[in-house]
Formats: sequence, C-alpha cells, structure tokens
Amino acid sequence: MSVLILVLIALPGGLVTSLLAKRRSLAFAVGLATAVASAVAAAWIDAADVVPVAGSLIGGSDGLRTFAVAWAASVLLFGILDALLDFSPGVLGPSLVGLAFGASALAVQDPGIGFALVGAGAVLTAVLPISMARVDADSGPTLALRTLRPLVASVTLTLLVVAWGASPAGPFNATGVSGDIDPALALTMGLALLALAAAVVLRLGAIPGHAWVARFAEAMPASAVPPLLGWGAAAFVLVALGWIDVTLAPIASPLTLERSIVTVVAVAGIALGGLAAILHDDIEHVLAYSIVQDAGVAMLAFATTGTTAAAAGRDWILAAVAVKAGLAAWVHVTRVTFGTNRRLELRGWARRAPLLGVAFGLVIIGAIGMPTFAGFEARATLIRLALPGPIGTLVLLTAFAPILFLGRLFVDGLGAGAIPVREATGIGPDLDLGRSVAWAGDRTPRRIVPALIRTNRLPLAAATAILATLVGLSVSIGGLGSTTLTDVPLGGNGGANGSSIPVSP
Amino acid sequence: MNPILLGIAFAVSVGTIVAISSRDARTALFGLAVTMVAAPFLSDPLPPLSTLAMRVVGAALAAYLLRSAVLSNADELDGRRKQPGHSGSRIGWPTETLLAIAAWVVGLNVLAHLQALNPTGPGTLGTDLLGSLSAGSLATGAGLAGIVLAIVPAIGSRDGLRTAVGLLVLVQGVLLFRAGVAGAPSDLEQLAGVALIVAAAITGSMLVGLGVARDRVAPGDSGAAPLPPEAASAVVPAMPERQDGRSRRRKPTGNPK
Repeated sequence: MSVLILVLIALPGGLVTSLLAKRRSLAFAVGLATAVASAVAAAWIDAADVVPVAGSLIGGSDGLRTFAVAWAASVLLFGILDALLDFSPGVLGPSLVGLAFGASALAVQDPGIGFALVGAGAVLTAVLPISMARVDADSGPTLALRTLRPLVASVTLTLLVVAWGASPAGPFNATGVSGDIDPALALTMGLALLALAAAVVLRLGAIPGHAWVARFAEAMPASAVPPLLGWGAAAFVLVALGWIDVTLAPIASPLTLERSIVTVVAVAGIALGGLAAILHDDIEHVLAYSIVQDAGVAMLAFATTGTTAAAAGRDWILAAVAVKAGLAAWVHVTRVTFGTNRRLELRGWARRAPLLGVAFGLVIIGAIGMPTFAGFEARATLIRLALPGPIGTLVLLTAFAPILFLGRLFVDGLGAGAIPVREATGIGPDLDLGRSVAWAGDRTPRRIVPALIRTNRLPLAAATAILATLVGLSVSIGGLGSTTLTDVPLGGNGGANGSSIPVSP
Repeated sequence: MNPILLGIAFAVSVGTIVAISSRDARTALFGLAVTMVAAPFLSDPLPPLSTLAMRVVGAALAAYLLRSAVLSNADELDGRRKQPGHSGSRIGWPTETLLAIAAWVVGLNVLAHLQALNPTGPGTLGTDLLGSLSAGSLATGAGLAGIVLAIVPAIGSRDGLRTAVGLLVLVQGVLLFRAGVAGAPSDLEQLAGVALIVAAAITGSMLVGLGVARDRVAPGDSGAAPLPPEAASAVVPAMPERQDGRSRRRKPTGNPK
C-alpha cells in the first residue's frame, strides 16, 4: 500500500503539472508540492507491506525505499532549480510521472509488468519535456523522434524477451530438474541474453547506442537528463537484472560467447565513453559521455552471473545515477550563471562561484569514490568478476577517467577568470534589504521574501545544486543496501505467473 | 476453431494494414481504432469484464487522443490541406497485406512449435495448421503481423503521425504476441499494457503537435506538399494574443485559391 500511495501522489500530480505547464507559477506550485509529498511517501515505503492488486502482488523493499527517496529528492531539487533559473515546468511534471511509473515497476514481481511500466515512463519523460521545454520548433520533432526510437526499440525487445521467457520454449518450461537444459535451447537463451543486453544498451545509451544521449543532453535543459537517462534508466536496469536473476542465472549453461560479447560492448563503453568525455569541450557533452561510461560499467552486470554481480550492478547503477544527477545540477546552474557551456570560457568559475565549486567537489568525490563507498566497491566488483587479471586492472583504471575530465574542469575553475566568468553578475548572495524593498515595493514579508529570492536566485540555485550532489554522494556511499536485496524481488520472478526454475543443488 | 475469434483476428489485422498503409489521417486513425478496440477480445476465455472494459476504454482513449491531436492541428494547417494527411506507407497496401500474411504464417508456425514443446500441452506438432487454430495462435499471428508492419513506421519514420500510429500498433502487436506465446497475462499485466498504450498515445499526440510546429516554421520539410505563398502567409504568423492574455483560436479558413 505504501508504494501505491507514492504512485497515487506522483502520477496525478505529475499529470496536472504537465497540463498546467503554460501557467508557470501554478504548475511549479503543484509540481513542487507533489514532489515534497512524493519524497515523504517514498520515505514511508515499508518493506513488509505487500498488497495484492489485480491478481498480482505489489510490495515495498528497503532497496526500493532508498531508490524512491533519492529519485523523489532529485525531482524536487531539479524542480526548485528550474523555478529559480526561470525554466519552464515542462520537465517537472514528466519527472513526477516517471517516478510513479518507475516505483510501481520496481514494486511488482513480474518483469513483464515492470518493463511495460518503465517503458511507459520512459516515452513520457522523453517526449513531454521536448514538447514543453525550450526546444525550438525546427529541431523539436527531430529530437523527439531520435529520442523515441531507441526507447521504443528497447521496450519492444524487452517485452519480446519476457514473452519468450514465459513461453513453453523459455527456461521455466525447458529446464530439467537439475537446471540443465537442452543444448538446442541454450542457443535461444543466449539470444535472449543478447536481446536484453541490446535493449539495455539502447535504453542506457551505452556504446554503440549512445548517439541519442549526446543529442538529448545538448538540446535539452540539464534538468531533463536525470529523469530520462538517470533514474528511469536505472529502474529499467533493475527490472532487467531481476529478470536475469531468476530466468538465466540459475541455468547451468554458462553462455560464454554471449557474455563475452556483452563484456566487449561494456569495455568499449567504459573506454570510449571516458575518452569522449575527455575530448569534448562543453559541459553538456561531458555530462552525456560520463553517463555513457557509467552505462558501460553497468553492462558488466549482464556479462557475469551470480547474486554478487547482480547486487553490485544494482549498487553501481544507483550510485552512478545519483552522482550524475548531481553533475547535471551543477551543469544546469553553471550554464545559466555564466551563460556559456565551453570549458575554456568557464575558466575561473570555481573562484567566482565558490558554492558551485563545493558542489562540483562533491560530484568528483562521488564519481571517483573511495574504497569504502558502495559505488566504488560495486564498480571494482563488476570489473573483477567480468574481467579477472591484468585486463580487468586496465579497465578499472580506464573507469577512473572522471579524474581527468572532471578534474580538468575543476582545475580550470581555479584559474584566472575568462571574460564570461568575469562579466557574470548576481553570483554572490545579495542581502541588501534596501534593494529588495525597492524591487518589491513595500516591506511586507509577502513581497519582500519573493524579492529576496529573486535577487538571490543564483546563489540559491548553487545551494540547491549542493543538495543534489549531497544526495548523490550519500547514495554513492550507502548504495542500495545490496545485502538486504537478496530476498527482495526488485524486478520479479521471471513473469511465469508464479512458476519457478528448478535450481541446481 | 472459433469463427468469432477468427473474425476478431481478421479485424485486428485489417485494421493494422489500414492504419499503417493509409495516407489519409482519418482513415489511418479509423484502422488504428479498430485494431486497438478489437485486440482485447482476442482471448479465450475472455478476461474478467472489468479488465476487458479497462482495455477497451484505454484503447479508445488512445485513439481519441491521437484523433484530437490530428484534428486540432489540422485546424491550424487548414490553409494548407483540405484533409489532414501523413506520408503513409511507401510500399503500398498490397505489399503491406502480403507482409501481414507472411507474418501470420510465421506466427502460426511459431505457436504450433511452442505448443509441441509445452509439457502441459498436447506434446505433438500438429500437421494441420488451420485445424490447430486457437485463441493463442490467432493472437500470435495478429501480434506478429502488427509488429512486422509497425516496426518501420514506429522506428524509421520522420512523420509524427505515422510514427505515432506505428508506435501504437507496435505496442498492441507486442502485447498480443506476448499473450499468444506465453498465455493469458494477469490482470495487472493487462493494466500495465493499458498504461503503456496510453503513454504511447500521449507521446504520439505530442509528436503530431511538434510536427505541426515545425511545419509552421519550415513548410515542406515534413514530406508534404509545400504551401502556396498566400496560404503560407495565412498560417505562418503566430496566434495573436488577446487582451486578456489568452490565445485566440483560428477558425478553419479552407484551402485558399
């Protein structure tokens, strides 16, 4: 019931916010109130609270609570950022809708339902912001179509794979008592794994399905990136890992060739995503390609078997998404504060805007991590399991590319100020009541508080970005709580309507 | 073989062919509505009445959303076209029909082989394909036909309406295929399918609106006939704002001569 309460708050609130998008103040009021209520409802998710709905079970879990709280907090903080930075509420409404679909997808046990729900959330969080945010009329349709295609392809692939899994040819019916399968059907299982991996590549924007991620990130406000490429994609990965856990993982067949192919794709994503982030000069592309690199690491969870890999995959995707949401918040505020997205034109940004420097420092700590961080350990575990030996060490070093592309931005920020940075105004807090009173017209709190917010919108936005990065850092440290997840479905029972695979003794 | 189910499957596939191949938006939407509304009945036994009603209402809502988007945007572009249209199928309805028939044959064969694998099923592969027609095989055939016909417009088209129609047919096809090969879905799964269909319809209606916005800016870029200069001058200017701040709705002006 606790998950349903979250869904019943976020879904209608998000739809109403989207419908009110042309009435900016009202839409933000409804959207932010909904986001606050969603965060509270997410914190109330009870792991023991399972209710039957329409013939299936919907239940919470500790992992889902962590995930939903972080997601709802991110939606709230980006809503505040959009309101402060004069963006339209076109992203806030779809973000809430995506939260509702994502939470419900992770609360059900059947991945067929989960994939359908995350698919519905994905298409809405992709196209609604494009049609409502500030995308010019000429490029909007092209961007919408290019964004929609990989999402549709991934949803179609996953639903077909789940259908195969629950069919008489699937592992639920084709395995023997000991978990052994007919060799002829092992091929089908390998194809299913590859199809699911392809769907994950398309959905996450991992290499080679990365082009749409870069286009989306460069054309849309940075606040539109986390709902689609972050939290929604993470929900998709969690459902996919749940399906793998119960469908393919117990099978005796190692699927060596197929897992090798997935490993190659993952390593390409880690190496080339990091390289692209280093080579690109604008901060939106740095954000996009760092997400592509994270997706490469997440792919490794599909290249290995076992509960350890699945738990590490869950921890990694949540940590990566939360940290990159913080980076997106920094990109969002920095772009508006200095009016440019070029690295060379942003020289001296950290000295000019120390609050943004603090936010970026937290992003760097979260992205690189430390040995006790859940995200750090998950990344190392995934690479070690998929690529043992010196190659694994090399890939692990490559995965630390954020040291270069984020560190370079930070070093630039400490240098002498470039012209756009020097000329930027309104960066520091302005508590001069006289100016605010002059702007507001009188001294009543009803007028002067909005005036103070208005005159301090950039420092407030920077402080909000710090909060977003703190959320990311805390999630990166704590992870999803993988030890408690072994008994929690988060993705389901394979969609065989209650049947289960006989597991090898 | 249940003739009613056969008729429903036939209606679903004919609706799919019409929706995908027609160049007239209204005809395509009619075909889409037939497909979407008939598909929930392609099941034996039928789902509970509440589930069935939910699926039918969801399908009708999806078709209505798309129709509203097309008609409201057709009002804006009425100076350009007498009837709202889209690029339609490039290979024509006869070829689409042949593709659908081929997909049907493949779908029936797939299900026949799957039934032979099913330990709880008959355990043999029937030799008479038509004689083994069941609700599952009909759903598989109709679903696969929908997937085959819709995959190109859903993923490859540059026209907003054609993409939207393809997207809805594709989703419906996948849901039918899933019900065919894996048995009747649970009620909650059907509800999730409805959510996906409605989300696809909302997305599709947004795509139609975005396409019209682009047409306003760059006439002729969508593959449709370019506007004559006098018609373009009637369409391109933005909607004037009224004194009370609300947008004034433009009345259809017809195709200027």
